Amino acid sequence: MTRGVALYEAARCLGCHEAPCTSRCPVKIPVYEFIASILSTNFGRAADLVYRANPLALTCGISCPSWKYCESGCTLRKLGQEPVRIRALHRFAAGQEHRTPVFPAIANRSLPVAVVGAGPAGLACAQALRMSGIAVTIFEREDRIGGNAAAHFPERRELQAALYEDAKGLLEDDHVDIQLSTEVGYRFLQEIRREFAAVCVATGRPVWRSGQEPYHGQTMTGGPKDLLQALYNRRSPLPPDIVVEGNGRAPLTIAMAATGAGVGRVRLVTSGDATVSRPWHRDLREAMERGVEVIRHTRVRAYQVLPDASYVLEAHDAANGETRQMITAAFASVTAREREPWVDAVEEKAGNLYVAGEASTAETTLTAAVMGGLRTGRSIAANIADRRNRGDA
Amino acid sequence: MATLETRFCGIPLVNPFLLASSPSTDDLGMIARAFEAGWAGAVLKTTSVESDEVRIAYPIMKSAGHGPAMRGLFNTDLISEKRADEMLEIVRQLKDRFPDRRVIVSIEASNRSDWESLARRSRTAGADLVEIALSCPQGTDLEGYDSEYGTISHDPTLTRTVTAWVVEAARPMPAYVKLNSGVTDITAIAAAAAEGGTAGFCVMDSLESLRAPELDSLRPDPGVEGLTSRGGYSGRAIKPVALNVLSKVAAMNHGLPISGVGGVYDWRDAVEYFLLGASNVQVCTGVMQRGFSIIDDLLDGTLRWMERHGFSTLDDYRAGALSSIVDNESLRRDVPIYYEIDPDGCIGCGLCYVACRDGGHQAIEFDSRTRRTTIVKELCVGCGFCRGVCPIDGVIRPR
Ligand SMILES: Cc1cc2nc3c(=O)[nH]c(=O)nc-3n(C[C@H](O)[C@H](O)[C@H](O)COP(=O)(O)O)c2cc1C
Repeated sequence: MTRGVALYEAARCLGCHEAPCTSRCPVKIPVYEFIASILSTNFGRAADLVYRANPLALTCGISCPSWKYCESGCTLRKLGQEPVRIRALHRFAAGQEHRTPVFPAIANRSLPVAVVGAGPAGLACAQALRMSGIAVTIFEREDRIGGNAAAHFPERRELQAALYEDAKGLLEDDHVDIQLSTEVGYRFLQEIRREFAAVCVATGRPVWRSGQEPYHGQTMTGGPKDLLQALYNRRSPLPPDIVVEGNGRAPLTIAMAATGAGVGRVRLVTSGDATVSRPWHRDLREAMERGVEVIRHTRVRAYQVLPDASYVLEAHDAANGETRQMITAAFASVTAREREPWVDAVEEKAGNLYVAGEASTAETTLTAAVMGGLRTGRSIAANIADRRNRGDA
Repeated sequence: MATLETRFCGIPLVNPFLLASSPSTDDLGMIARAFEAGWAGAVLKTTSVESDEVRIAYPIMKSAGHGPAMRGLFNTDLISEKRADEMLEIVRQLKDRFPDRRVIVSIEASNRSDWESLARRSRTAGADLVEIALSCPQGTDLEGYDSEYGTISHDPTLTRTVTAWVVEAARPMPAYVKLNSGVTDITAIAAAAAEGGTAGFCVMDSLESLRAPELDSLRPDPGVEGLTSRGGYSGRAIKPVALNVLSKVAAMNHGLPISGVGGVYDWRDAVEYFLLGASNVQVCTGVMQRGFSIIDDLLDGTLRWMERHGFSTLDDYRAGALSSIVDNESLRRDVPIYYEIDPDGCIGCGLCYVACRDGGHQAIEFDSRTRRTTIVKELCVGCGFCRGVCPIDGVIRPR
């Protein structure tokens, strides 16, 4: 969009009070304010306004399905007119000279936070943390940032460039360590939990590269949330069979989801007698009716007992129950998808473990992932500050 | 790092943006919200002595153009319905809560003792400045004085006299005159006010104007039972008029500061006022339409512009554009100029073609098939009209 066209388009904005465009924006961009700044040719302020609300402003300016969000609320539609082209204006604004964020100094005595995944959610989370004076280490499996966003969008070259542009402040910051080509599995996750004040899992949905089976034994790559989402999406290839290990609601949920999704063989391994606690009893029976095989009184790690299994989920971590919490949260988010993908973006606290952001595939949105990341980043920062105030950080 | 801090009549201002005397400054809560939003000060709605009871005949306003496209605002408003003692109580409370913001009392009276007592009482209430409202387009008489001009603001002698009374009574608090543009020679009035001891000027009040009746009912709008009165015109449309008056007053050699008013909506308007000699700007219609939050744009936009141009204070560029104003005879006639249409930006509407054909020099060609427009360099005199006719800014450019 050229300057002249941006000015023309900006002049169409009515500047509604409590504007519906802003309230429908996942990241609550002050739409009228930035459009008014364009109109008054204060392009620098327009850029600052969009970046303040959304650290990945350029990226979202390219990819946000704005017709579902801000533009769906534009008052001009009540006149039968086309809505103001907010995303195009947003992209114009984000493309203007803006002040790179000045990150505050690192607060004393605070351990850095690990962020797993350098996709939109992870980057937004890192940004929010850095803004709160917290150092960040980002672990990314691939050799580039961007995550699924960069891998999946048709305009991905442009998107990739936009992501790098948006992340420039983070990439250049001394207190942000980005470790590319570093995979975080379940065990590594447990290790880094001790070294960092908190770990934010911002891995989004798994994208199994074609021809590659899900990892055997490497059960936590991406996390159970990813498997669940894969099951529900049916985008990624389903494993031919699944073993879920654990007692209680979480493994049961996964097992049922797996049969429902059409996984050929689903085995549920429990250390007890699988009556579980009473409330789940009916669910367990239903699961068995749907073909879930229940293996009782088995404690040993499932993949040692069942070496033929192609995908094993350890969902039992009895010591702290965190895995369970994550799974429940994941399940909640999967079912919540029917309502509004970002509303219930998973952000479940479990000890110092957090999950951020919806996955950024074409189906959900970058904007949603960014919002989840920002929210989680802020809540981690708040929790750390809280602990520090109580003197136990 | 540039600063917007400045002074007016010797009084420090946190920034050069004030609320003009208006419906926005007739209420304690509203002004308090404006100060919280960042406004540096407010000229209260004009007030008079308690014995002059004011009652407004509603409706009082009608705009030209609607919504974001509002060009101007016509009003038949009067001074405040609040009594002076209520107004001065607002002054006290504001000064109490916002010691670093400026509260300016706008006063109007019809005889010497009232002018003087209002000035004195404003000072006692803790006001920072007094604005002498000689400017209302409806006009003000002075009891016991016959004026061939009908109203004080058009009469240099009365302007000098009243200014001297108020300035004396307000001392040591500074008092300044708000000018009305509807006079034959603004510099004569400004000179008279300077002789009367004014500490500065406010340029300018709304323009005297009139709305024609509504064409279906043939009744005036705004009007009451089929009758209307003359009123003031404000908003975007009056800015060039106000800038013209401002530049004339600023070019006089009085050394007094000027507060610019008229059609300020965003930072660009403000910067224009500063360039033509204003020390600060006041806003009425812009705030009435878009709310106190426009201060964010005024502050941010002005600062960025200053930084872009390497100015660190307002004084670095204030009145800087005055020296470029000369008599038309002094402009050179032999500098070649013509315009060009950017073919990539052109949307093919043909508006420039029509305008140049019937309002210019038939210098634009329009291809009906491709909808392409081209300017014929040899025919173009460079009048510049087509630029503004084009819907897209920047598509038609000088070469
Ligand atoms: C509804 C209305 C009421 C006004 N009342 C006063 C007033 O009481 N005293 C005064 O000096 N100016 C008054 N003004 C004039 C404004 O202070 C200002 O000089 C004028 O509107 C031009 O500025 P603007 O274009 O920003 O509105 C009023 C203007 C309007 C529109």
